[in-house]
Amino acid sequence: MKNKINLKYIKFINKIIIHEKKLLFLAIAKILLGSFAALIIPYLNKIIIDNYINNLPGVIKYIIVLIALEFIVYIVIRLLSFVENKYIINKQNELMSHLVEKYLNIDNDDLNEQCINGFNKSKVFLSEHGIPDGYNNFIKFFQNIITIIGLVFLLDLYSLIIICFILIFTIINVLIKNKYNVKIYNENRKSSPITRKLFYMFGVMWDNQFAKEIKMYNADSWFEDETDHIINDANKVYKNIFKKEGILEFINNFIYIFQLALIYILIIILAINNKISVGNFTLYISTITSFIFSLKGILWSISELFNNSLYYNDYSSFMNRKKEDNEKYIIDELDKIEFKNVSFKYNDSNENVIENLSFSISKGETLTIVGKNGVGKSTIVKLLLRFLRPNQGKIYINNYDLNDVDLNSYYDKLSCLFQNDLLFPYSLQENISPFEFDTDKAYHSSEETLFINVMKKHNINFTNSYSNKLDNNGVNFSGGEVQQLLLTRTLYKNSEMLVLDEPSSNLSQAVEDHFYDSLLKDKKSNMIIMISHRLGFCDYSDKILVLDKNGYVEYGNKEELLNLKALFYLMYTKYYDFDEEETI
Amino acid sequence: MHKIRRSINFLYKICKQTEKLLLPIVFISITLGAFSPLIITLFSKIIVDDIYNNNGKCAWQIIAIFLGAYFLVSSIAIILDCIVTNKKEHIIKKQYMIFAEKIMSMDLEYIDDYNISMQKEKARRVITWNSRNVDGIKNSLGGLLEGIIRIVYCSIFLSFLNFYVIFIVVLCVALRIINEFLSRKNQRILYEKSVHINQEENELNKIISNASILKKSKINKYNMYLCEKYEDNLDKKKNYSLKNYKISFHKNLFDEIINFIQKLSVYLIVVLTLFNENSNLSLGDFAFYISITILLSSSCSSFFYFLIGLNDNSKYVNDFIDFIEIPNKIKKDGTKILDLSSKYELEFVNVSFKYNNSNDYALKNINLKIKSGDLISLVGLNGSGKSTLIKLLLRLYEPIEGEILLNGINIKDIDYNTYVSMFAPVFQDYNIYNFQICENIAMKNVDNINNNDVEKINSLMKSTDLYDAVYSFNDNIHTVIGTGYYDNNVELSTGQSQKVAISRASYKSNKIAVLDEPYSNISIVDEINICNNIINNINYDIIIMISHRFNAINKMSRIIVINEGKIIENGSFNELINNKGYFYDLYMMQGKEIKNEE
Repeated sequence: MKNKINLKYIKFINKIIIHEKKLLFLAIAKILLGSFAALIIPYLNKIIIDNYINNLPGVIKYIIVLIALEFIVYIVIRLLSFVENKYIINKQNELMSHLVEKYLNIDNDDLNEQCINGFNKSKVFLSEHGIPDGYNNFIKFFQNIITIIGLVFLLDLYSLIIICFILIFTIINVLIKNKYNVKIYNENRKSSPITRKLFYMFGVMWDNQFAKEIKMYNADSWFEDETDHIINDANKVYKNIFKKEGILEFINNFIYIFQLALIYILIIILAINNKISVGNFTLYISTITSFIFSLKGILWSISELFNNSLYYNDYSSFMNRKKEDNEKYIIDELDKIEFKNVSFKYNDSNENVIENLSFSISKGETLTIVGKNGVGKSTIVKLLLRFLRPNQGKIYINNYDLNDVDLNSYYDKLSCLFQNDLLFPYSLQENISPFEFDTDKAYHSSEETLFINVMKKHNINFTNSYSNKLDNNGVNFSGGEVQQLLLTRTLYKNSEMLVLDEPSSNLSQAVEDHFYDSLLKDKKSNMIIMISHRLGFCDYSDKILVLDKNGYVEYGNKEELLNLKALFYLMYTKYYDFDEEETI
Repeated sequence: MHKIRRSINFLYKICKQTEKLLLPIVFISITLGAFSPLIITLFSKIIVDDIYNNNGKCAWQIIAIFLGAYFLVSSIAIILDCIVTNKKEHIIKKQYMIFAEKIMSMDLEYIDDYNISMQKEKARRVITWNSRNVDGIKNSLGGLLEGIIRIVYCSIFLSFLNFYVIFIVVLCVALRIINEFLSRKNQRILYEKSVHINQEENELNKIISNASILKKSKINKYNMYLCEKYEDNLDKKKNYSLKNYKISFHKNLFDEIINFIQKLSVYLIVVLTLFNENSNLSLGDFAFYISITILLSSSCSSFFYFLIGLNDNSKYVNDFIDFIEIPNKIKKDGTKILDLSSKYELEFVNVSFKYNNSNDYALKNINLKIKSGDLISLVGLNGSGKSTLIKLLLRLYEPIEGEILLNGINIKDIDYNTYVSMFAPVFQDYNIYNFQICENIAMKNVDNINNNDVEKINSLMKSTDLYDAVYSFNDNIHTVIGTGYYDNNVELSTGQSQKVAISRASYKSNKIAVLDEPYSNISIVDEINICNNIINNINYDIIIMISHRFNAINKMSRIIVINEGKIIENGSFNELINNKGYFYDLYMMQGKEIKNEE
């Protein structure tokens, strides 16, 4: 697969042109008119030379007619290009949308750095080496062929010999170019980690988000030094690339001049021996460069198409990613969720984060997961939501393996609140519910989270923007207000299962209380999974899962765990002791 | 004119700092390039005349001389070009660096401002858009030089033939320039309108190139929504480029008409002169003059094209220069020297502050004294002004009224770096950088971290209970964390990241800790441990902590309650509880849950 020229690219472009009938028509029209226009001036020159000094009125007639013709043809070509642009840009957007859609729906298992890179490369392919480029090269290819055939007709048969000459040299030229292109492509590949690193650095330095910390920690000099280092490394690689490009240019130039010399010698010999007329000789001299350029253009388009095809691999391998299509179980109603002997380990770590974990939760129940930081509470959420797959053990939803469950139907049944959840620089309304939006329902939810007070305070409604990144009138919320917005979104969805990861972080006590109150009011209709390092919610939970390092687990209801007199007991009493100490 | 001068100066400055040889090399290669079409046309004329008149007696010498000269000139040009492309890359990177330095040194107040962020976006687009930045200015200057040289020699040759030709060519070129100028103007207007489309695209790309965001987005079908937004953006971009095409289509149409007039009249004049029996013009001359007129007209238009381009480009470059020349409000060159070993006393005197985009004061008439040994907790509801107070203290913003004194000196007059070096801040929105853990804590390159530093890092990680977790990784403190450019890096949990941020602050200074919600993601056991450690082991002179939870509050010596930008209560825990005021209410609200249980 690597570095091989890919004919599929040609097919890809072909398919697009042939599929779009109007585009095909435009292309053919442009090819014919373009080559016709390129022949008019050489033809005029020939006529002037052939009638040298003799037929002045005839020549003037020709001049007027031919130049007017050329003018009309060019105007038509401009018109065609204008129409064609619209089609091309539509097609381009269509492909881009497909790509983005594919990427945004990719399987969670496949969503890794490599896939994101693949997506970015595909995007580059589409915008830089895709249809506009491929289409234009196609057109140039055929245009040049027809122009050359026309030139042969204008001149005499000797021009065929010259064409053969040029052809041989140009092929050599292109072969060398292609070889170097592969080399340059590889060199570019090599530079890509450095480039990424460089753009990460610029990203950090250019982004507002980091400004405060950089100022306070004087990190600017560190980052600048780091970037200077990377730039130096990058320059070394680029230097190599430029060197290769320079050598290529040099060789090409040498071949070009050698070729010119041979052709000139040939036509001079022909002219001295009166094999070609003086008029034709003049014409040869003035058209030789256009000969060479047309022929070169043909091979150039081919090599450009090949060059693009190198990048096509990125695109096609991304678009041809396979999706599992075995039958999935569609969830109508969530009855039971069960973890059975689940173990999980991150790739880069030696130890299991979760070891042999089993628990279950049924309709109407509330489960609280407590534990210190880094014991894998958030990992459980990730496993539950199929962001990750367990290394061992199984997760069952309604007794079906989670791997066989249709994720969309499953996700429809849950609302989640994550730590560092996502918000978008669009309106509050869009942030609460992406598609349909019911204002009354949203007001109801925001009353439960007291987000309504935040809106009153900032004097805004749901149509205002979250963040001023894209909108001058957008509001920038504080950490607690953001959390309230997120909670509002979670409650708005009103689903069968609620997964709340640290819902109280950044919240002030009053808001937290209000939220818990309203959450517990209609608790019966929901399954709730609460992840918290605070124990307050344990009192309302049917089941409690206590995690500690090295896979230590306590599982049961509150009384059972307190009677165990182990970790939970310790945490629970410490929490209360601490507060009692305060109240004294 | 002013803008052009400014951008040329800027180009000159950048070249002087990075690549002094660039401009001379560019000019040499341009001069050489300017003569190469002349070599070809002269050659054609000479060789045709030779064959026609002398039956090719000198043909071989002519070819040898021509090819030799051509080879020499083109080889030199290639070598110079290669050097130029290499050096150009340095200049582009230099612009990136200048931009980065500006952002990093800019006042926070500006960074948060919407208008300035639009200006920043414009500047960013200019430097990442190769033909519009300083490199574009360089190209325009080169093009101008080339144009001048060609125009001069073409005019000299043509004046031998017929003056009218020059007149027609110049007239047509003038028309073409007006055309070009108008279309450029329209394009620029269109561009101004399109800046926000690009900003939108940037935001989208930032969102969708993050795997964990994408996974989360599926739950609420935000992935589909983002897809729609993306298509929407593509549509907007399409409309933009269609409008752009329309502008250039009109321009091209007019250009073709001018071309037609020019070609027709030049051909007629040359043919009439040629066919005149009194003239001594040969066939070679015919070919020569035809190509010289074509060359003259193309050089004239390219000359003016580059002139307009220079004018146009300098507008874009000026966007960039305007951005990097935004003066900072906050002066950093205070001269008063601070005795770092002494005790501190911070004092807020009638300090008021209001954000640019708001009418209400965020802080109003704050009076406050903080001494060495104080452990202070700032308490208040969300948005009450706690964070703003801290931003003022850290000199991220400057008060609108009143002053902040440190040991009696206004902090404005203290050397900025000395002042900032006293603080150990942890922000709510701390960042993890895609570097090694030890680099993240020491905030310097791993090469500058010596054994003492490592010991310090280790002991700090023990205080924050991060040590065990870090040493369970394969590369211990040299593990690369964060998401950015490495493929196989470790992603810390939120709590662990927060501990890194706290260790980072403690590493920086042990004088004044400023902790903005430091515990919001840390479990309760850790919270108590870390709080004890910060207070007992790290030995800060002053701790100022914002927390909406009261778990750690009884360790603090003083509690300051802020509401709606004003200090409403100030005293020790017991005092405030006995006072039965606002704090008491807040505290009781939190205690309610516990009480109910009892």
